[in-house]
Order: sequence, then structure tokens, then C-alpha cells
Amino acid sequence: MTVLEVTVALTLLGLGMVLTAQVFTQCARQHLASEQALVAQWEAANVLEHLAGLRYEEVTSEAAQAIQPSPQLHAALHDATLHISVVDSAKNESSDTTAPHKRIHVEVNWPAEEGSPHSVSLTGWKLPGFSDSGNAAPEVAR
Amino acid sequence: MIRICRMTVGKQRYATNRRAVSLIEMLVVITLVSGAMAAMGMLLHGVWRVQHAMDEHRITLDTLQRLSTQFRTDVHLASSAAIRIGEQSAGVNSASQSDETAEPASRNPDEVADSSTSSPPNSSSPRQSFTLTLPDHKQIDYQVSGGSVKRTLRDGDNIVAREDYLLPSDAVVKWEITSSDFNRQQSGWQASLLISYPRTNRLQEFSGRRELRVDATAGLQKSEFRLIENKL
Repeated sequence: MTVLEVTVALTLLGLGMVLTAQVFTQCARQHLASEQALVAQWEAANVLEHLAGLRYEEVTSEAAQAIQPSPQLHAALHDATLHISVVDSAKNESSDTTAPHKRIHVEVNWPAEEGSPHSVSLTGWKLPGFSDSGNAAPEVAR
Repeated sequence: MIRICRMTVGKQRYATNRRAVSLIEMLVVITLVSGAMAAMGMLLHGVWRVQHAMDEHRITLDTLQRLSTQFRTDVHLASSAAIRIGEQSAGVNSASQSDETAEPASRNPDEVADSSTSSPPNSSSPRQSFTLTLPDHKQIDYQVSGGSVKRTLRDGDNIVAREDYLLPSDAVVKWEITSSDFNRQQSGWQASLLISYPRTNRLQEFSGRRELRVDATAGLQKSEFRLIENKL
């Protein structure tokens, strides 16, 4: 067994260990990322749920701006930001539907470990005259 | 260093071209191979543990998602709710009713019921449950026991459906009922499910806890009323 053989064997072994360690790291990152995504999804759904509970005329951009990120979101994602937009079909001239509605778009953004931003968004439609507590239309998650 | 292997059989001496190794060299090689195999074994065990943990984590997330979806659907359909801790009822309801009957939730925004005593998975803690009553007088009970959330749908005394949602180890579940929690413009009542569990299964006392919250607003699904109207 020459020194060269030993060196090659140790190099291969070290390479295998490094690759395995990378798998461990990747798994840990995936574990964290999936939990963060879950928290973000639930935050967006909670915001939409809050707005769905308002009366139709109360669902405005001002009411949406008053909603602050929850402590659960801050605890899991320190730098997360919450963006909520309400688009009223009555004020939106480009709307091609005749039925009045309000489109609520909730987006949660947070920076990921590798620097690329992650986001979860959820969109719901509020329809008037259904009940006092309103109605949340089918949701589209992305 | 190359040695020539020499053998003596009786009076005959043989010399071959086979490479010889000393005992020390053999011991060193055996030690190195053993070390390498031990390292590989540890790595394989680590990979197996990671795979197991990831599987468990995926199942946990799936379960939590199913629980949140079911909880929201139930609250959307419900006409009243109550939280019970042990023998006491802590729901948003009048105190005059018995423990067996869930009351209509109040619309007073100041009334907030919170099962603040957490429920660690030991048996000595008071059992708490969250009860929803549907417009057709069916009753849905959520109860934490044995490390899982048990959902039971009752029609009178009959159990119609029963489901179990297995929680992560050492999870704490509590419920809240409130009319408003951000700008008091809420026209209906809301129920919240709060789940807290350790981030890792190892060294739980030193790891932080993951806090999750599911809010649901009552009265968002009136499909049953619509169906009745259509029939009429």
C-alpha cells in the first residue's frame, strides 16, 4: 500500500463524509424552510379570515393596513413583512365582471438563508350581501 | 519497501514474487479499515435518522394542515362555541347553562375566553375541550388527550364521526374565542386554535418552541341555509 493509495482512499472517504454532511445540512434547512412556509401560510390565511369576518363595506385598504403581523409570524420569521391589498371592483375600471366584489390579496415575504426572498400569497374575494359576517370566496394559493 | 516472501516446507525453500506485509502493517490497515467502516456506519445511521426525522416532520406538517383546515371548516359552519377546562365551562356563553350544552357565542367584543392553562401531555392536567354547535344541533368536540387532538362529531348521543390528529411530542394546545382582536370591527365571533411545540425532539428544554395560530371566523359558510332555501 503506497502513500498515493492511502491518500486517494482518504480523499475519497473525506469526500463522502463532506457530501453526507451537506445532506444533513440541507435536510436541516429544508426542515426549517417547511416550518417557516407553514407559519407564513397560516398567517396569510388568518389575515384573510379576519377580513372575511368584516362587513363588505368595512373591507377597505385602510382596514387592511391596520392589520399587523402576528407575534407567531415575528417569532418564526424575524424579518417577515406583510402586504395586504384590497381592490374594489366598483373602483377598478379594468374589472370585466359585473358582480361587485372586493379582491383581497395577502402576501407574506421573508428573506431566506441563502438570500433569495421567499413569499407566500393568498387571494380571496369578498362578495356583498351574503350575510353580516360576509363570505370568503374560493381561495387561490400560490 | 518491498519484501520477498520466502517459505520453507521441510527442507525445501521457496521464494516467490508475492509481496509480503508485516504484522504491524496488517494491524495498521485493519485499524484504518475499522475506523473507516465505523465512520461509514455512523454516517449511515445519521442518514437513517435524518430520513426518519424528515418523514416525521412531513407527517406532522400534513397533520397540522389537515387540523387547521378542519378547524376552520367547522367554525365556519358553527353557530356557537364553548371552551371547557375540566368541569368548568369557559366559553363565550352565559353561565346559566349546563356543561353539556354549548351556548351561542356572544357578540360582545370584550368577552374573550381563553383556556390559558396549557395542557401538557401528562394525565394530571385538567382535560380541556372546545365545543362547536352546528345550526342543525350537531355538536363537534375537540379534545386534547394522549398527545393528539380528538375531533368527535355527535348527533345527539350518537357519534357520527371521530378523527385523531397526532401532535408533535410535548405539544401544547389551547383555544380562544373572541369577537375581535385587531380593530373591533368584527361582526361575528372568532375562534382560534393555538399550537405550541418544541422545535427539536432532542434537548427540548433548551430548544425554543414553535408557535402556530389558526384563526377562524364563524358564519362564513351558509351552504346548509342555501340548500334549505332551494328546497323550499
